[in-house]
Amino acid sequence: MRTAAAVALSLALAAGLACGPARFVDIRVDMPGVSPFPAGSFDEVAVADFREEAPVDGLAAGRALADYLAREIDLAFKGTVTRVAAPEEALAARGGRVLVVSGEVRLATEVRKALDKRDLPVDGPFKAAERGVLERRRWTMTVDLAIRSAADGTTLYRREYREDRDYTDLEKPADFALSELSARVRARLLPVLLGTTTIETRTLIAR
Amino acid sequence: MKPSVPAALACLVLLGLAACARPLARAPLVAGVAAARADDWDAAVRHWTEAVHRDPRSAAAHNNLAVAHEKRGEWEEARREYETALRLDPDDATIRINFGSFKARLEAFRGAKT
Repeated sequence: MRTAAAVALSLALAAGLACGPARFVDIRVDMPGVSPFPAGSFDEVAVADFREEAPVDGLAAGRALADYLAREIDLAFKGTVTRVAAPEEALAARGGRVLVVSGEVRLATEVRKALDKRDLPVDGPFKAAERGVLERRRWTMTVDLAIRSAADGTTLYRREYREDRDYTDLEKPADFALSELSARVRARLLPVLLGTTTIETRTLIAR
Repeated sequence: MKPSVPAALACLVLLGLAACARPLARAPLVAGVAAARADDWDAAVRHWTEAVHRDPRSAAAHNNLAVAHEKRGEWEEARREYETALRLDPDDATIRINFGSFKARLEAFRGAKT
């Protein structure tokens, strides 16, 4: 009798455990890159100067960005990377396994003002004239980027990248901002182009 | 008639098992999670496939399989498993978050094809 009761109790406990609450396990997974261009489907990338409709004085942002991206793609890509002045040049001359990177770049700047709360008087009343005002120079780079197949000129990928950077130094030179903002565009473009892996968090369920 | 305690307990156990839809699938689910944590995704997929075989209505097993497909770069299979998991358990926040992250990553990387 006692043995039977013990067995029944064990079964009840086991059943309880089996039906217990869900257990969630967060896991960091090295996910393969997602690319619209399957690996091995192209063996050359041609990078053309980016058009500029409103160039910043003394700064060839379109050419500088193309030079920079070509260098960076070359470091990560096993195939050939070439520089061309205009996308038509690559589209006309190349064969079927070439991707052409081109587009338009806009670099704009403005001085933005904001209250510096650290300098606000703590004993009131409001004294607007005494409020601290911070000035920052914001540089914004917008890149309308397209990747086309040299074989038939079809656009395989198109995306607008917009990057901002604020500087407390109002005299920060434009080429400095261009360099920093280009690096951000590169960080977003290369995984798309080459399918770079990323670390992702997902939750597994055991219940 | 004399009341039987073991018989009553046995009935309780049976009722508990019957009430829970997924007890049989739990062991392979746990084994799969352990395999995934050890970075043995092939074994994890085997365990979770077994979990689905034992209980096709286990949203957890489908969720985990979706993650494994993601890990392998099998995007369409991952999407299918996430959708199945959500169909089975539409209110599960964990599955929703996983699926949302999956879709956001896919869209961000693929961009707008024209």
